[in-house]
Amino acid sequence: MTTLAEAQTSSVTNTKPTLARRIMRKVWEQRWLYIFTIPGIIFFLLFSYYPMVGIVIAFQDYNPVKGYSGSEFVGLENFKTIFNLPDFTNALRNTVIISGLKLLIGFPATILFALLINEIHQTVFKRVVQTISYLPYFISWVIAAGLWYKMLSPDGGLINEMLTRIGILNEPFYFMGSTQAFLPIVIFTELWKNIGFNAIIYLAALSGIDPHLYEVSSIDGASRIRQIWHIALPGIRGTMVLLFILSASGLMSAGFDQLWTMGNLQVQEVGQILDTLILSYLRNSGGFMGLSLGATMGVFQATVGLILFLVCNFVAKLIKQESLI
Amino acid sequence: MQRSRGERWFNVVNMLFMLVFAFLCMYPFIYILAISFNDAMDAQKGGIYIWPRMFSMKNYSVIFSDQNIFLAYGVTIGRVVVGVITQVLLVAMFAYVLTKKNFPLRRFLNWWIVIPMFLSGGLIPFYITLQQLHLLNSFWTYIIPGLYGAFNIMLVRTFMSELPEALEESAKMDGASDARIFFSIIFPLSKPVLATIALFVGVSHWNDWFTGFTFISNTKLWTAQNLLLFLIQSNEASNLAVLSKMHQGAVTVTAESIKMAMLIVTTAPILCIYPFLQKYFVKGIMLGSLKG
Repeated sequence: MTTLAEAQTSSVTNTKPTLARRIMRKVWEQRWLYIFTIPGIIFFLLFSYYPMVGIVIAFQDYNPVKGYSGSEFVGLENFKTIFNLPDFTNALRNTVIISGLKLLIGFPATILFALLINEIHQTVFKRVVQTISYLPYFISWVIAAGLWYKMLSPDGGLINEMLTRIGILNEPFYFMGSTQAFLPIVIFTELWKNIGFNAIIYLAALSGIDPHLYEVSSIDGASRIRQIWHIALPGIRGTMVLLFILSASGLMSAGFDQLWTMGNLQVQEVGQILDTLILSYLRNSGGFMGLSLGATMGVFQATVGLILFLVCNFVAKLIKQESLI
Repeated sequence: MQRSRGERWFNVVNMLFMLVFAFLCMYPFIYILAISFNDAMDAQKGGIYIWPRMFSMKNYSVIFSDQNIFLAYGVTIGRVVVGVITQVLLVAMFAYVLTKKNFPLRRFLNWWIVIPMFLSGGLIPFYITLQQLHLLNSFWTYIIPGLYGAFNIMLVRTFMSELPEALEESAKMDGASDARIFFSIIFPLSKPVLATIALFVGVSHWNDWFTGFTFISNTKLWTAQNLLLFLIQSNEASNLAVLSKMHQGAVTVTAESIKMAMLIVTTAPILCIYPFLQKYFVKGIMLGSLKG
């Protein structure tokens, strides 16, 4: 309140308020705007910017007792160490394989799904299918993993029951514990969970295509398939490029929630990714060494991710798409 | 319009394909639901696909009489309610300021929230931060590190910046403060977008298992998702340990049947609000994709 009083007296008595007072008065006038944003500024400072300081431990032999400032710097030693760790190189390879496969299969599958849904002209049927298709998107991976564990369980799971009944399998097969079956399961469940929701953006782009194009082409006798190829696909090209680039820049994240909830010891060889490895370093770090090494992996992952993003964004600009930022 | 035979075939095949797809999306839920309402011993024989064979509520009565599960449900509901209210309010206030063109910190604030979308310290430095702030192992671990979401701020900012300025101008003439303008004009007018982010935030709080799993070791503070993950991932032995604690008496439920019922109990609230959920989410993703 004193500031208000000061501000008022200054404006009454002094015809020329000093700069400081003018600023003070301006701040006072907008006090609520400051009050509204200060919690947010502090929030991002504490939970986004301050943790970035913690990146230093990737270059340290971090000791929690000594803290960031007291721990010994070791240069790039940690980076050398992780590249000699079979766990790390294995997880790096799996990360690239899993997210690469998800992109290669998921990307065209989502577009195909959107195109096919778009070809349905019975409105009610279309809406019902669409609404059901995003149902799995809204549940957590814990639940999705639980559902598919049960479906695929060797101990009375539906898939095994079916396969043994029709004679494809002689005895129940432990799908989730098989290194050959695990990757296909990961890709399949990812599609199952997200394809419906991811198709929404394409459907929006498809609905933006001028209906005249369809009319004219059908007068010219174009078949549905030709219409999809020559009208629908070019119509969503911009969206396709944008989304492809966006997912390509996520190559370093293969789906943490999914791999942690569905992964298990038997399939670690193919199912361990960078994110899950870092989490297990955090959880099982008997020594402090684990913290530094885990953070180093995180820094490596984030750096590659950022470079990928910048490169992809640059490419996007080159092909005359809007910048992603 | 005339339709060729090929075209009719295309339609039929396409619709059949969509039917199969929709069935596939729903079926695992139906399967689990049927098993969870079936007698546990009987379910072990298999053959239950869509409907329970020996109807039983036993699995659910065991779950609902277990203190840990009750507690976990309470914690989950608590974090959803507190998390949604705090985030909606704080995000709305922050976004409101970002629409003020004459606010000197506007540019700074825009960058302040955008940079963390691209740079982060990673999991381990984040863990150390929470440790240093004494934010591990408390109910507030669920709330405080999740008070703001940059994406949500942008969504609300976009919406608010499209509100007619005249409303604010006239309130200003009448001498209303920014706070008053916000609470009595902007906030109520932004209800549609705030409802959208309330659902975003609510669902992510309900579905989040990572926070409890990573930052909270006190099992009394676990959420339903954490308990479920524990039940799914723990081996048979520890399952049975949990079970025997839950149910001192004749074994009429199995680890499997308990898991199934727990899966349903954890999914049910999402399914109940699903009609709203999908509508608002679709709206939200559109807003985000147009402006993002």
